[in-house]
Amino acid sequence: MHTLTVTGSIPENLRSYGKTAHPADALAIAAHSDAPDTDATDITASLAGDRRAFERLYRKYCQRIYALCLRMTGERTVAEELVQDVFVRAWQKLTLFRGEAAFGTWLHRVAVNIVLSHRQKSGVHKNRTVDDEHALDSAPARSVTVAERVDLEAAIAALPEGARRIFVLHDVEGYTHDEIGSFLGITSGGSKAQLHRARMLLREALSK
Amino acid sequence: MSELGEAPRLSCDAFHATLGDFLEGELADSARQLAERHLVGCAKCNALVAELDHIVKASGALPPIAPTRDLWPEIEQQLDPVVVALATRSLSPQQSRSVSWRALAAAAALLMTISAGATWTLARRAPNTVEVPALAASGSAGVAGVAGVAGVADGAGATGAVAIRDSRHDPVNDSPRDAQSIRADGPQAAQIKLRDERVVASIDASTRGSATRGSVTRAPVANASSPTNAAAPQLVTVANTERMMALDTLYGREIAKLRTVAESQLGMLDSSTVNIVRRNLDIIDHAILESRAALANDPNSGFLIEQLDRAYERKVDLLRRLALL
Repeated sequence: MHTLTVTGSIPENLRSYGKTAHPADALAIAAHSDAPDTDATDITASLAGDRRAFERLYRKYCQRIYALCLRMTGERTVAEELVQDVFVRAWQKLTLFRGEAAFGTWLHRVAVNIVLSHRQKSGVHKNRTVDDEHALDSAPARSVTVAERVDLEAAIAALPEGARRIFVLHDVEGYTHDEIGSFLGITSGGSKAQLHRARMLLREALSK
Repeated sequence: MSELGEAPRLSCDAFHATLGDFLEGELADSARQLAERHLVGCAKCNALVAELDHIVKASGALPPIAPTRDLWPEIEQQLDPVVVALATRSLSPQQSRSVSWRALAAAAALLMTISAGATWTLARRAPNTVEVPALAASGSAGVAGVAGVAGVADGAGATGAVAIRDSRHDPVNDSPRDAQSIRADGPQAAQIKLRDERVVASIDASTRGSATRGSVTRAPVANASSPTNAAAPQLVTVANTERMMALDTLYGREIAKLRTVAESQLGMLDSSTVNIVRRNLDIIDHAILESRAALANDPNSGFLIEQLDRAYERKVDLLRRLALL
């Protein structure tokens, strides 16, 4: 039996809002509770070129990473491509993993960066700030579609992109507004405003 | 208005205006007390908060999702990255050149500025800082002296017939100070055209040399074929020295392969373009050199190892673009 140890700091929103666990930290907890030394063993072996060890890491984390990619993008095919990118990137960058945080936490950050980078490369939006504003503006129109959905996943997927990204990063993945601001190049206040808007849109959609 | 109770201080509209901060727990005590008092007396707002609370909690508890198919086979195929995806050629050579080099020049300049500023600041804090003289932007000899760092030699006349050269890395002389002295010897001493194998061998020698001098002992590395034989790993003891060696190896191989392709491409470019390429490579190599020098003084800096990683990435990206021309 392993003692559960939360390796990351508890995000502000969870401290203040009474949630008992943070998904990203839960990933770290899971990693440690399964077998504290397993990740480290597999990481060390992967660094030596052992693909089977890296495959074990993939098997362990792929569902969490896929869920993040899917919820962030709302597109299954894109999410699957991104998962591949995440693990290829993680393989290449494994030497940069310092072991100061849980591997799952590090991997999550790699994933977030890749998802956001993909969005930039895809050229969907050229300006983040403008994009976010447009996303909010489009919310009412999108909520019509959302109204047809009943489950939370579908409602999240139907959120405007800007609001969805922030909602997923904050309420699903547990990043703080400061972290989200850093990821997206927006202010903490902008992140809070988008989050509140996203929650209200979800409530509206789910109440129909 | 549905407020009840003795003396509700907030209207529903006023409460809604603070709802976001209330849910985040970021209201000041007095404002929070007002909001809570409002909730006691307002069933409508109370229900709203309860619904939002439910959404937040439910979202935080969303389960992982399995991909619809096993992605591992495709991932595994990419673990040895394709150096140059020739199939991705989409622009005409002219298009590629006109777009790429401007972007590369800007990117390299930005990289140099950021890297130089950051490393200079960090290096100044450390004792025994190695001063690395600024690289002249006039297209002089390429920077050399560190493993995997390639300079581009001067263009040979108007035909642009050039060779991409790599610095020969002496495993005994891989400290930044030594690298500096190699640079001081000039391009003839430092720029030696190497074949791919030789570059890799040089890097391997470099990593071995560095390993013996590293102040932090690397944790036992598992045998790739029998990972179960691995001793208990201690990732926290893996030093930046090790990471730097791994980056040298990772990027050194790719750079060596790309160089072969890029070398042939340079011969097709005009001399002015070659000069731009050379300058960009110099800038990037300088960034690599500075990062390594700073790491020598601050070997535990995560920031610096990431700087080095980014510089290597830029170099690979530049060579890849060149190869794709």
